[in-house]
Amino acid sequence: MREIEMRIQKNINIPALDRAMRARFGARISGISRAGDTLMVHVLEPADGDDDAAREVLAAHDPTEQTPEQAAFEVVRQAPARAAAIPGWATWDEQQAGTWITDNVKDLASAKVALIAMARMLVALRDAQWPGLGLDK
Amino acid sequence: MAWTTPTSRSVGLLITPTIWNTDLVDNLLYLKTPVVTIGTTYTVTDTTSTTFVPIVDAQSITTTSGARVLMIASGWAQHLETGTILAEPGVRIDDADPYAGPGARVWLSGTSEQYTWSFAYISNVLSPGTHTLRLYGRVAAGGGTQGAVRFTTRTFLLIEL
Repeated sequence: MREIEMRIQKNINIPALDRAMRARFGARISGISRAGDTLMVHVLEPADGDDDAAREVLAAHDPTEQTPEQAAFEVVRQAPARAAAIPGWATWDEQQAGTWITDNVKDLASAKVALIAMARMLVALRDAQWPGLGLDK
Repeated sequence: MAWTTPTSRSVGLLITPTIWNTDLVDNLLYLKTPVVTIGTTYTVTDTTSTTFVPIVDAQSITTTSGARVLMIASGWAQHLETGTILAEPGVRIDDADPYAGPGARVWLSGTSEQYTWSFAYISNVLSPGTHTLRLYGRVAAGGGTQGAVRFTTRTFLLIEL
């Protein structure tokens, strides 16, 4: 194994950079490591041009770009706030919810309002319960 | 001061001051104050590597004849992604194969989840001289998930036995 060491002079999103390096090197690397301001690429099968390739990937790295998993976790993290933002539904008990529906759902239009609020709650619950449900694993 | 293999005595053999001081006094003093290397520290290494890679600088210890080395290491491992992964620290002597590891296994199943790890390792009898022991770490996929782990090493000490 050979280590390619590079000095890091910017923020790093380790999971995203790992994916970018694996996209470039394939199975020839076992991964990357960071210790302080040093980044290491662990090359299992060295080849000519590896150092330049690693530098190119690092130079192109944007730490603000999230991996699909990171984006899914962000959705999970925001789920409670989204649920809390649905008027009434975040705090009602069973009786209060039933009373609201009885008092306010009179026709199709008002039923749609209730259904949309319930859909928002369901989506927040889904995101909190099954993060990354739609991700291709 | 180094360890000296004590000599056997039999009836009639004189125990001189030199023999007594070497076999008993010096050897007992050596046992009371073994060679110890206390490494660091507070070392943080993030890694996605599936093969063992260094997570702490090597520490050296100089041993005498017939000595083993006891290594004690501890720290914590933090999940940097999602999914279930294994964080595995291990140790290597003189950067030579094989690894003595994994010395510990930490299951991490949630983002930012972290658990402590610790393990002890006793080497085979080492040749007299200076030896280096280095901590390594790797990430093993659990449930098909590849991930990133932050290894924080807090204790890494070596004791000659």
